[in-house]
Amino acid sequence: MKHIYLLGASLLVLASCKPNLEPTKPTSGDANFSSYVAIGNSLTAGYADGTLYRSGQINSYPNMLAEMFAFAGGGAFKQPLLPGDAGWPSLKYVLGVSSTGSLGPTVYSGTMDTAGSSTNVYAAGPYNNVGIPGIRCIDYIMPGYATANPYAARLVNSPLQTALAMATSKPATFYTVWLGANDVLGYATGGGVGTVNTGVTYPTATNNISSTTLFGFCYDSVVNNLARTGAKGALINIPDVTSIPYFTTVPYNPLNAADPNFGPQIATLNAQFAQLNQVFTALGKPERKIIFNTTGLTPLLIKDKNLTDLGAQMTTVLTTAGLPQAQAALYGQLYGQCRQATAADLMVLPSSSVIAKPNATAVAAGVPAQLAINGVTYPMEDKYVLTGDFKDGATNVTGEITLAKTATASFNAIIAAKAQAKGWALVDMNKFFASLQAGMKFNGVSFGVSFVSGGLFSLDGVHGTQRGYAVVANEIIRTINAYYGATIPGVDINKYPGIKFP
Amino acid sequence: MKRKLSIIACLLVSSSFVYAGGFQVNMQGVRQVAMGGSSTALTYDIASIFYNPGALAKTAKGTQVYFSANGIFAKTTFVETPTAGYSSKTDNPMSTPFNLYISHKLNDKIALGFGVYTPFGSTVNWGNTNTNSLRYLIEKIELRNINFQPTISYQVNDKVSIGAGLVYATGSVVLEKGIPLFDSTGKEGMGHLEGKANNIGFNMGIHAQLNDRLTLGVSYRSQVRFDIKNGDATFTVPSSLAANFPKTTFSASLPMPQVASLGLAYKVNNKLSVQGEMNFVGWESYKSLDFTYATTTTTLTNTTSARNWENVFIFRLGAHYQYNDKLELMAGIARDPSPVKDGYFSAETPDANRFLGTAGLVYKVSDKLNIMASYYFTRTDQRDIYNNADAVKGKIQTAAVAGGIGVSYKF
Repeated sequence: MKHIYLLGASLLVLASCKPNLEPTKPTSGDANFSSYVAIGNSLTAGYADGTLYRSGQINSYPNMLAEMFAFAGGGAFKQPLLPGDAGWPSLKYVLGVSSTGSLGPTVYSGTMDTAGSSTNVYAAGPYNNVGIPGIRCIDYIMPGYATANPYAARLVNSPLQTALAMATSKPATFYTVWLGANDVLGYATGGGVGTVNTGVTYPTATNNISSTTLFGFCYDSVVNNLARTGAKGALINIPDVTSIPYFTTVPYNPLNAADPNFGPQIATLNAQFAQLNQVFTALGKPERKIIFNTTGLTPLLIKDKNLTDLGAQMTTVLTTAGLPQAQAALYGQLYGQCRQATAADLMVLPSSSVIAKPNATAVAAGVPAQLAINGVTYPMEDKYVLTGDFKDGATNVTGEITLAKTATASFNAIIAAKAQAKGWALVDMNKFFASLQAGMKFNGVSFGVSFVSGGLFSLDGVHGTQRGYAVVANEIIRTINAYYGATIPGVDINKYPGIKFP
Repeated sequence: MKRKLSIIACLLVSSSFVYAGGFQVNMQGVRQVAMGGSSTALTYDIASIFYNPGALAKTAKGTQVYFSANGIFAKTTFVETPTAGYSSKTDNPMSTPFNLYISHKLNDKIALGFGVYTPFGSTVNWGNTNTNSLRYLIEKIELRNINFQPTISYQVNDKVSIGAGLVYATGSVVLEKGIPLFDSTGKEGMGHLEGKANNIGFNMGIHAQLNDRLTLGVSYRSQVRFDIKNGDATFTVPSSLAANFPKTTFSASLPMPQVASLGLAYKVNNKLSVQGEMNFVGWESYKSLDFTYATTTTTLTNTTSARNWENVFIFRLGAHYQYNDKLELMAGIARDPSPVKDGYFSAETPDANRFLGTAGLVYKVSDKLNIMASYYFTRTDQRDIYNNADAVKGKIQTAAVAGGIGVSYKF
């Protein structure tokens, strides 16, 4: 009988058998995450769908990082959360179904929960996430900036306090700094209407490219201040802003000959522009000819302010050719600085709602209705297109895209040099975003950069979805681990919500 | 006696069983399970209808009926690598392979038998909550297979008997996976596939008494391929995308592979016998898992997932001890390698090489009635897994316990 007891006992022991596979204990390496502060702009704040709202803040990438840092000595992480989820100061975009049945961003029409959003919350600080939507690098040390930015106004102890002073009110042991995107993004999203600043020019208008000199001075000053207590950190560089859905969603050539509203008019349009096209040839600018393809797709007609304005010459030539003076003057005015778009041009997302529609402003100013169709007979306004390089006769015209890319490269060179000088990690988000163009997969889910369906970008076409921010968080963690010899766990991208569909 | 029974009761509660590599379930008899799954050479009962029909002519006496069932409790843990950022655990319901055998000895030479048993199956439930990062690969799979097998066995001479069975196999599969689309309430999409199939196959075997001490068994079970046609595919997605995921039917094909077994038993003395066994399992025929839909859209496309499993050899060692007239004790071990190659991880069969241990006992209540119990446990290696097509990388480990009970009755 003794044997049977032994058998029974051993079986009972075996019954408790289960997997003994456990995650390894994360380590912090040379970094100290006990007090982590995230410096940055809208991306850092958790901005999405065109605004800032509470659930986006809760799943901001700095909060994801902090949750992971907590496994390796990271401390509490406090965020200046808004009270509601509707979006503040503007309401968020949600996906809606249009009258024609297509899906697209529409303004949130649900319950308003924005009361108290503008309340200054400095007293409840200091905060670990001090991301301020809209802030540029050159704004970061500017006293009084908070008077121009409601997000900054919530966080500062007085309107004159700089963002930097607010951010460093409690020194941290580890910082992430993702500043600089707005020093070029505002110019790009504004269709390149602004200018490229130089020297110590500090424009309040946000649609300019910041002066590289001023950017360098401010960036230096910010990082030096953060590092003065011996803190470590990671500097995150600026992605190529022209690769985001805000610029890559609307095609440059959406006019389709098969479209019953457009196709039948092609012959008339070509006849109408034939004389003008002769003028372009005569003036040595045949590239500007306006031709509507009888099959397939035709590019949009755009204004390119970097082209030489040929309006006066065109008017003269047309008048000489016998066109009535008033009509010749109108043609010169309308088409003196325009061309059809090329694959190198980027239409901004808001252009989709005006393309091929009558331009009411132009009509009001006296332009005949048939010459006031946006992108067809009326050049798309400057703000709707970020132009690419263009060969205009004998002249090579540098496009707005090149200016934005050049500025981005200059700013990133400053960031890289600073990281090296301070011995901080450099997160090459520019390179990482470039790699995302080809798409990525994560545990069976495909992600890409296309608008809505790609899953990475939210409904404003600029900022991430929460899953997109999780992808960013993982790249930051990967870099921190490599640089500081830490073993911080990556976040589970699939844990976070994606875009909601009606 | 009373004490013995209480121990048996205890076994029934804590007993466990572990299924084999891939989605094979080697639990078609209590003694056989308890001897590490080996039973080609050393045959004691009419479960040989499954294990080696060649032995049925020797094991069948008069008219007999045999039933046993197991409860399997299996758990798999997945931990992401290299950062160990997240992990997932299965929450599988108990799965219950069973078997029923009936035999009748027609004359000195010929025995007839009929078996109903479950040679393959799998139940894996990773869960559909957002704490399971693998839910877009698979949330849940229930694969069932029940075989019906009329069998005939013939005693060639004192030493050698042969047998064969015709297998009618029925199968069903239910599969659910997440779709990364969210409705306005944040509820995630899901695909639900459900289908049935059946097919026929056979098994056969030879059993030979080589001398007073040595016994040899050879058996073979053919592959049965389940071709699911017109399975139901339903998708729960946001209403604005419903047209992209129409309710449709699907077809898919899954092999239940061939198994060839060779066993050699040695009678140490009148009380103790031991046997070694080798199984060849032809998993190589599982090349890919393909779903073909009757209606496809830009978002609902046919899928092909490479599996490229490999054939495996399982090694088993079992011992049988006749404790006294009433009681038999059994124990066994086996090394059961995974047919899943590196780089072909699939969440519906999270498989790794496993070592298993078994034990069991049979109590002869009367000349007619035997009651049986077995215990089976395994814990697989901690395996580094990845699948580049799905961009999943991690470590997995499975542990399982199963308890079996059985009864046999001689009329």
